[in-house]
Amino acid sequence: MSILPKRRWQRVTIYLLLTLGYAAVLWFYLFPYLDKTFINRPAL
Amino acid sequence: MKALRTTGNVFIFLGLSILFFVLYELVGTSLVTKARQHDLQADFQAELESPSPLNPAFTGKLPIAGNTRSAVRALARIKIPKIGVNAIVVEGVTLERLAYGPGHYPQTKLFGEKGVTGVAGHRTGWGAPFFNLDRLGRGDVVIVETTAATYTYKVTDTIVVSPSHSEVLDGNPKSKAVQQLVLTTCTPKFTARNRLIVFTDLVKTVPRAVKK
Repeated sequence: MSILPKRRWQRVTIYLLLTLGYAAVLWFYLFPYLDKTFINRPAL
Repeated sequence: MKALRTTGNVFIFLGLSILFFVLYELVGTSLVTKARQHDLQADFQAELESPSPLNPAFTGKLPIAGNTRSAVRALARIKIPKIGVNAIVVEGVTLERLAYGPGHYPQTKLFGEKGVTGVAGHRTGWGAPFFNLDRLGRGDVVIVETTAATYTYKVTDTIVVSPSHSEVLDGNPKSKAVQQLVLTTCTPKFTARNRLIVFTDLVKTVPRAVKK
């Protein structure tokens, strides 16, 4: 038994929202942290 | 077989996430800085054309208060013809400030003052103003425009140090120039492991003409 809805458009919407949410977390939280920790610290 | 497929999907997922990070680092951050630099260039040009009381070239005509486009004040314009740099320098070297463009080390002298002036800039992302700083060699020119004057510096030395060597901001020990400019950025490219330091000496000052 799947927890996903039966209608295709509903499943697509859920996948889309999950993808966008994941991308937003990466873009606004994880990537800035990685950038300032490992990539970019040009000042002394 | 199912485990193999799941493992494959996980690797594809991780690979796409890494590609997304590359996109963020090389394109996303630079778009932010490009927009900020656009506003800073406009502000700086406006300031050059309407001197403020803080400017030695002040004539009594005040610019319209609060009419700046950027939240951060443009301090100077730095040009390095050899590597195509034309960027506005802001005050401060925090990562928040460097996201606007190259930043002036607050503990160092301002452009035009006797002593050492330090400027830091990103090498990866955020417009990467100092991406090709390693291509500079002895004798290459760095031009700094402020509302007071245009300063021409010549590169005297390039060294690589670890991030803890802040004494480089005391200037090039081999130089006897009264006014020096020190440029710093990350090295090697795409890492924050070491710092590339470019020492320059002031060779020419052209004061801005006072508008009457």
